[in-house]
Amino acid sequence: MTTASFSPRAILRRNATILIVYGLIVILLIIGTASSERFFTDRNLFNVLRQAAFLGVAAFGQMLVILTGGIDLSVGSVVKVSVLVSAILMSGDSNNTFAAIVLTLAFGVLVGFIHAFLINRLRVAPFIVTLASYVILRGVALNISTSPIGKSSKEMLLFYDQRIGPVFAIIVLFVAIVILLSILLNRTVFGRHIYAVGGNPDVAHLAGISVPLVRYGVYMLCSGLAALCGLLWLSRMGIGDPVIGDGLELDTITAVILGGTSLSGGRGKVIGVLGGVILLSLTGNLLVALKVNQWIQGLIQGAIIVAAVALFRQEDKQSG
Amino acid sequence: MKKIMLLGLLAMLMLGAVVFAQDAEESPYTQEEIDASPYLTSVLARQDEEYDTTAFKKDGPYRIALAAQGTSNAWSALFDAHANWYVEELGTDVISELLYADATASADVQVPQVEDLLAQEPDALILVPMGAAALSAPVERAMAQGVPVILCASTVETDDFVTEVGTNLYGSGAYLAQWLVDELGGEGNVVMMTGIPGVSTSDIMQSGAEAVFAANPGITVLDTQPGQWSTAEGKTLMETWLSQYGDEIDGIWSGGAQMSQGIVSAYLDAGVEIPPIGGGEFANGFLRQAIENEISFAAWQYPNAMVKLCIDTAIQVLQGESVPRFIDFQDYIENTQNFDDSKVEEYFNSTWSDDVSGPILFPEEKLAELGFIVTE
Repeated sequence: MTTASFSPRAILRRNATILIVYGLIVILLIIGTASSERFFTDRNLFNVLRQAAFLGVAAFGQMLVILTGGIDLSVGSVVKVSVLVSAILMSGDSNNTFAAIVLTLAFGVLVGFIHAFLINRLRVAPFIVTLASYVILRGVALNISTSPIGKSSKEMLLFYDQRIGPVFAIIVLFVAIVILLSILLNRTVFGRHIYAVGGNPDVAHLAGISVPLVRYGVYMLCSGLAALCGLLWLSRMGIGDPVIGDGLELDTITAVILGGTSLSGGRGKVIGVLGGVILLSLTGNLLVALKVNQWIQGLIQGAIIVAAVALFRQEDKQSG
Repeated sequence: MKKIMLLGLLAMLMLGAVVFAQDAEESPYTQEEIDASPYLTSVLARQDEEYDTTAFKKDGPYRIALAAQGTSNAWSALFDAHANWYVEELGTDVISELLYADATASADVQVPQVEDLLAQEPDALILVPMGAAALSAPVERAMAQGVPVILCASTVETDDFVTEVGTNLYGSGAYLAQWLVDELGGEGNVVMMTGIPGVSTSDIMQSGAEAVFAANPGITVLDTQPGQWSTAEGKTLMETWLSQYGDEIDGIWSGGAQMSQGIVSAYLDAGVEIPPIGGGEFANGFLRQAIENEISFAAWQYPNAMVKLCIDTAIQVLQGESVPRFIDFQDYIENTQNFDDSKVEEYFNSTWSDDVSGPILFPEEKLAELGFIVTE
């Protein structure tokens, strides 16, 4: 390690992607404020943050998997099945709320366990395992119902608008998850092992790290968080609708890449992914404020991803 | 005296019988049908209900939010074009701003968009719901925030909204089926091509048609399958039916003109005479096919121009005028009623491209600007 790596320039270079993401957020805020007097208001900003929580909860799970060099393409399908399962289990009865939440989260964790089991034992690539899971779970969801089904309990529905002081409870929950993940990744042995496995699984194994155990941990957390996202959707809509979750896996991967996490694993920060999540949510909100057609959002996201990947390559060249 | 009383009683009974007979005549639905369809029950009840909008009354100009389907096809592109044109026509002293969100025809995109629009604090929300169940809670939240919701072109499962602009879809499906029954003289084999299963518009039209076929024992429904509101899917399905049933098919019920175009195409490829089709629309491509091939058909309508009525309704609500809880566009917009092949020449427009659905209320120049005019 050289002293140069702690120089302001080196720190800036290492965090360039994160700085660009937050820079873009500032630019979007300026554009929004200039174009609509109702954009930079408490109401709209809390609205954006609450929406960010939906993508964020699932994206942080994806981040953990990607940090180990894996990928989870089943996130959207887990959300889809979780919405249906929780709505059916709850059936509008307050007495069922707790059990439905626990069982839905358990379902998510079980899916993650199966992913890790197949990756560890059968040596199947995460891409293949989770792609199969994506298809199977979609089939399961459509077998459960092709139309809306079940019902949220009253408490669950009210949770969506619940506030703690001026802040939505969902934002508080999201912030708590962000803090916990930050502690997990930066202050625990398990967190260091995640980075080590992503950096080089063979070296991690030689260093005495149980690579399979780390994989069990991240895949179970990822699918568990996706199930939590499904519960949040139930609270938002009050009903289980099989349309929910379509394309979410790609949104989570986009947020993680935008946040500076390397797709090859071993490198990425919670603060970066948080920026990616907020950037995507803010883009959607701004396009509504600007009355722009939604397909332009895809174009903008695509352009940002290309720019982010180009930046990564530049960083790799400089560090390599 | 007794005679006078008896005569009076008789007169009252006769009057009652006449009123009853009128009621029976006015409603084309049996009580059994109404009871079996929550949609029909709701529409018939709401047609006679008025919503007191004094709580929403405020001075203009108004900021109105439009949560639209988005430019996913020609129908929705013309829907948006009608909205923008009409707001411009009204002027900024009536509507100062039309907020807009494009749902890309997806319910899970539309749910957060409704939240984004509400965060912009509009005076009213016009919503084209992309999912009856998915949008129910967002609609309830909007109403709870004091933003009146006008449903446009579709409905939601909650009853907590101001009004819905559309048409009786059960009645539309039943009309197409009844026309087919009459055309076949009450006897024959039909196939039913429905839209997308699970989508309320498709399911409701189907149930209306099935009730009519069930009431006519001379009609045999050979098969019912979804054509996914797609010309390609419709054609594939019709090809399958043609190989399976051949000339046994005496008539076709179709839940949309896109599919009907595929049906016609399959018949033309097979070189078989096209049977009567209960399933046209004011869709220029279908009408062109109908003229070229002399097709017997009946058409229902679901015009993109109905957004004009949705905007008018939103203004009425904000001006504190009471509005019916169900507004049928057929009663307010010209040339949006059901029709059949006898009027095909009146509806077909040779300068329009095939993907235009009429009626078009704005000037032809605007349609040309949007690329919907055929240039030789």
